[in-house]
Amino acid sequence: MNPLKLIFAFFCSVRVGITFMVLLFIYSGIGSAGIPIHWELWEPTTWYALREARGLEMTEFEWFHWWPFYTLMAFFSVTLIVTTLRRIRFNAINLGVWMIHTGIITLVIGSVIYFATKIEGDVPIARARMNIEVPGQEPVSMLVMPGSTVTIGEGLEAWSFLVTGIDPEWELLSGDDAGVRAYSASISVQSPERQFIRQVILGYPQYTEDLVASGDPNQPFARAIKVVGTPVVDESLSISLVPDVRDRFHVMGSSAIYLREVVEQPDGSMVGVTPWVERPVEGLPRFNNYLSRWGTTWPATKEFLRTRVDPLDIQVASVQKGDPLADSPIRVTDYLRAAMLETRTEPGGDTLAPAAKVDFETSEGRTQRYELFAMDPSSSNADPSLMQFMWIDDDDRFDSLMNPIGPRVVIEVPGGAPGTWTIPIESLSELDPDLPMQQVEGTAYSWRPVRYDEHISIEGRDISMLRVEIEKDGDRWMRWVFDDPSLNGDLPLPVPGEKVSDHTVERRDLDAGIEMRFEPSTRPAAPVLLIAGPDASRLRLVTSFKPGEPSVARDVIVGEAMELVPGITMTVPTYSANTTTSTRPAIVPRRQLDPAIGNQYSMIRTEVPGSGGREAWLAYHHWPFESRGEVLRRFPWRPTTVQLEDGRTIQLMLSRRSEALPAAVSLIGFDTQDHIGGFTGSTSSVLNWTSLVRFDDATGSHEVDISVNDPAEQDGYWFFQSQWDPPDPARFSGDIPSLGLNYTVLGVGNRRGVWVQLAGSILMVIGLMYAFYIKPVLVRRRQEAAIATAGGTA
Amino acid sequence: MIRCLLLLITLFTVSPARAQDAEPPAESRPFPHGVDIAPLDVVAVWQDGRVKSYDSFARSIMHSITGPREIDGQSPPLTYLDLMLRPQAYQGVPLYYVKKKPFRALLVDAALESSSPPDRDELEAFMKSGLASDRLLELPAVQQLFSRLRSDVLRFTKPVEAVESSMRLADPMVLRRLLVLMPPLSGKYSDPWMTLDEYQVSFARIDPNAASMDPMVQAWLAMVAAWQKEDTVAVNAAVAQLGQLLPAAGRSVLAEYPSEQRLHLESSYFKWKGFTWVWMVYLVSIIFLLMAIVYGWSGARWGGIAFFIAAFGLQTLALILRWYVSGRWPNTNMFEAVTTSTWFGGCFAVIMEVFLGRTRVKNLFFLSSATASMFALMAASFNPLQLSPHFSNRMPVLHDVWLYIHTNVIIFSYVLIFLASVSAGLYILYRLFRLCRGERGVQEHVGSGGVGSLIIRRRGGEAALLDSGTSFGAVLDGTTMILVELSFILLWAGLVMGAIWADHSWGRPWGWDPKEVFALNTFLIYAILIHVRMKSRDKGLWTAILAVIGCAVMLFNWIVINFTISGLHSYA
Repeated sequence: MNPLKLIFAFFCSVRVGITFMVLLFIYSGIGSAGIPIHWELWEPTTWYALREARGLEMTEFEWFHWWPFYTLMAFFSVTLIVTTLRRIRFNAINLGVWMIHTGIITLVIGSVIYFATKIEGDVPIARARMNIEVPGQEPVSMLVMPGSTVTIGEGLEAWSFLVTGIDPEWELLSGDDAGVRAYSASISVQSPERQFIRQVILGYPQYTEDLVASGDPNQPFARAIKVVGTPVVDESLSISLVPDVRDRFHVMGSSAIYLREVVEQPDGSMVGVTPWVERPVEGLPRFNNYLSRWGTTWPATKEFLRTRVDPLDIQVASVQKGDPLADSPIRVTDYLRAAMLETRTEPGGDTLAPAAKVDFETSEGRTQRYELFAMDPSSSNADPSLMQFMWIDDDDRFDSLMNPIGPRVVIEVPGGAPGTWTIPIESLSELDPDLPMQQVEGTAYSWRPVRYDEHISIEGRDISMLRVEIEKDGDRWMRWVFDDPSLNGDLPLPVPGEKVSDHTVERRDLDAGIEMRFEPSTRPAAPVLLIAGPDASRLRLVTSFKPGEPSVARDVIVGEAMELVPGITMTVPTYSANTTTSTRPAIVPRRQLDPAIGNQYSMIRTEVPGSGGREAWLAYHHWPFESRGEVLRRFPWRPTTVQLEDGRTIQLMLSRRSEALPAAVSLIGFDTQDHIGGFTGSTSSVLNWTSLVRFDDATGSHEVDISVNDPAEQDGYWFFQSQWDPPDPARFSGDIPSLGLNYTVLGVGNRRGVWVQLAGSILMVIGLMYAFYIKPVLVRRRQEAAIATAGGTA
Repeated sequence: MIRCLLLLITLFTVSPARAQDAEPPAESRPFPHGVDIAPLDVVAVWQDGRVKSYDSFARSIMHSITGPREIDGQSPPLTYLDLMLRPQAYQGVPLYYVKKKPFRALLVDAALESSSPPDRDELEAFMKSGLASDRLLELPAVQQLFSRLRSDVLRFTKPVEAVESSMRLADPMVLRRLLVLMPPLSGKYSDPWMTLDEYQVSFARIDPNAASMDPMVQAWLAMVAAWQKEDTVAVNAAVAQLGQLLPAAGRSVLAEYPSEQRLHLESSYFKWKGFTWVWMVYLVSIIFLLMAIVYGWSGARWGGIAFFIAAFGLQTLALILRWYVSGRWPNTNMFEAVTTSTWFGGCFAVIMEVFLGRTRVKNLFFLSSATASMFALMAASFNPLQLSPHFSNRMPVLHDVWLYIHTNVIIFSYVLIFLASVSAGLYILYRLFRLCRGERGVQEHVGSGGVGSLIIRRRGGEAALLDSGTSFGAVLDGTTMILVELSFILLWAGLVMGAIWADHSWGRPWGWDPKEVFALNTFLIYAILIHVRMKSRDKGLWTAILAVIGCAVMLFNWIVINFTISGLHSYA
């Protein structure tokens, strides 16, 4: 038989069509919900989507745009066409079936057009950008986000700016605009001369004004116009708010490496010398870990055992001009679905860096573990006022701990009476207001201690401080005397009855005629002190729980529990004198992974050409922010810096591919429509979100509202409301809380072929109705006509 | 027959009466059993952008703490106030609901390892009821278990967080902060409401003396004081006063303060447990209808219809109540989608029985619809955590006309799919029955589809479903096909409408979301059914098998995809 006829006969079969439908059902099912891998069907862990398997690594979109699906659909369509043409006569009775089958083919054609040209992504747009111009310096532009900070200039000429507050609904109180609500930002400015707060309002530069220190503790800052008579204290400084204009969007599900050349600044920050360039990455996995070799990550229990060495070899070539590594592909060798860079300390090496873990357990069974580092106390996770770990080079240091001396103050008067005075002050009352002034022998200075504080932890530093009153020739002032004399400072005496905090009092010039240094006591700095040394293997515990009572020292045996106080035992499970510290990714085990986070915490390892084989782990960024000043709240910015052998430094970042928008877009306003009781910050109080955006293209500009279920069309692309910026409390000490509404995220996508799809779908609906409800009526009429023709009823 | 009816009526009326007899009168039971909080039924409370009746509000909060359980036979609204004002009475009382039994078992294991484990009876009661006391949950061993389990994100994070959040919620200060009873004095719709404590403070800022003289503040303070003294009479007096003063004050400052009728109906709706118990009436109807179908008893038919109409009437009343109280057509969350879907099925059954009640298909639509409604209401009744009847605001994406078009068409098609599976299931049973009787090679089906079998004459006679000579198997097959045809069209139309909505909401008509894919898969099964019916010899059996498979895929989509596999359609 003619093979063509055989093929034709094959596609002319309804049974073959049914088989293709069954195959389509199976394909859709296993790629979407997945296959159950055990019987607990209600457990999310039961369902394993095949598309996520190693080697496939597909999104739902990719699974349904893979060649097996295309092939199935093609065969199904051919069967449908051939069967319809060959087997179903085109007449009034069969019109319904014809419409259904034509509708399906039309829908398939529409879908081919739609999915073949589909591009979809998103664009974040901030409410405002802040342009700062400082005399003699390059202008700086950054997004306005709570806590955004920038320093312009260096040393004594440096200006620093911090966004301390944003009110997206600031009500204007003056002039013709009274009652209008506008986006307002308060920026704390530290200029070389003074500190003040500048308030700027988007769209209303005429209302810019400064707030300066008022001296009133109840209202520390007052409007500059009331204090100094002008609205701004420094006319030379210009801070303006302008809309944030975007001309590119980021493609959903894509990957790209961004890189630029940078130079390091004195403060350790990196500044770009070339703009960021983009290198698209194709074929990056999504769901499984791929390791090029053991030892590049921290081991992670069972999850690590399930991860095998399975290197990637993805060459990422340069495609844009200005690429600092032009002509040199970057090779991606590893992929981790979710990982965090962690710095860990391991035993071994030649460096003396004692590290210990300490476990506490109560009699009720509560346990707590701490990690302590003798040489780097700031890395210890115990409260330093309660527990510390130290290394001692000799036993004299241990003796001084057990038999403490001090605290003392050392006084020297340069050019005055010769010599220094070391005066113990431990016997002096800290709070005795009547303590007499004592003369510094042979000088005009007299002094008295007021209060001392030992071993205070300030920003990770261990600081001890003595406050003294000093008098000379009738002038009397306060001095803060530190264990590091370079920190010493003179201040005016507090006025009795006036509440002044240490943070608001202004310093006076340090009197260089008398130098002082505070020597804190040599007693243990914390009630629980773990001491290593002078022998590397020796570990001792010194406890001093009650003031005035002698400290107690005990030898510690690693792994052996010892009673700290009744009801609490302490164990040191591990201790090493020599340790090495390194930073690697720690894989987040699959069971700890919320599927909703997608690839937000993914990482890749790259071989950067010219770096001498250095490891470069790149963390995923949802958007490739250009600098820290461009980062949206709640999103991290963690570019990786790599030193090249030719002396250059480059920064790399993993993110998504970008595409040009049909028109530049900026956010003019963002509004929430609320339910009864108003906006509470929670989504349940919001009825709708609306972004008022402006499109600018060659034909001009126009403004349009985009809200949920109400997108805007621009040059073939639909822009729809995708995400918003809800209020966000402070997340850590020193963080600035946010009232939210500082940015919007618009979804962007084209939609070619949807009208063809819709036409096919509607034709199907009409065809179904015809086939099920009109066809029987026609058949009945034919029957009646036939009966009538036959001349009677049967 | 009449005896049967009487027996059933007696069972329904006497059982609750006996249950009530078993309980001692409220007055003789300890505080707060004598407290009458009925006056608060007409008091409005603001919660997350909605204004509810106190009863509705308190039930939704207590639902998050005690789950479906009641504490000491008290109504949840009463327990709310008692927990808020007498927290000491609940120390050590099993209060916090733990749903998953494997999770309960882990908790018990941890508690037994503790240095001072609770007694065995308490742990056994916990395993049975799911209610754990603060003492049990605060055991160090249990707390350590929680911190261990929290890292198992997929399986245990949610249950651990649910327990911790219910413990936070039960804090008396939190309960007091949540009781937001007073509308904004500005009278503005979008200004925040206040608790009575906040009202007193803001009033006191203006005039401290007037604040303490305010009758509402006085009644509130009196209620708090009397409650803490466990003075039932004084509490009832203060509650009655609050029940009068609060709505009056609310209406005087805010035009949108709900009417007394609405608040009252909202409270009643929840007191009647959302009418989910109507499943029992449907069950009786099913029994009668089955007897009518199998034995052809006319009395059973009318009994079945009477119970069906009663049940459907109650379900309609529940739907109208819900519609009126929530101010929107009930199709927004899972509870509403499931119950409204089966109500559509009831409407369809009534229409079909009106037109086809004299044909061979009589009783079958009532039976199918009663079965669907019974299962739906049973699910809502026994799984209130998954199918929560409480009101909440719709997500912004649901504020669209397509919610009414797409969702209603889809859920109507879903209930028709279920109805089809009932007649298909009966067909399979009937065929099995005949097979058991040794009747092999039987092939019963109608000739020309569903509606066709009502219209197209058989050779020389009536249309198949109108012909008294048509076999019972063929009647079942014809009924299944009527349902399959309509659901096939509606399912496809609903999918297209969903795509139109998704296009302007998410920027794409089709996203291969699991829920979309499985709706399409249901359609595929039905397409396979239509074509297999064309080609197979035993059309009736294949139709029935595929109709049941289609229903299984639809239920998988509605239940497993929604609750287990996340997607964009997780709200319904």
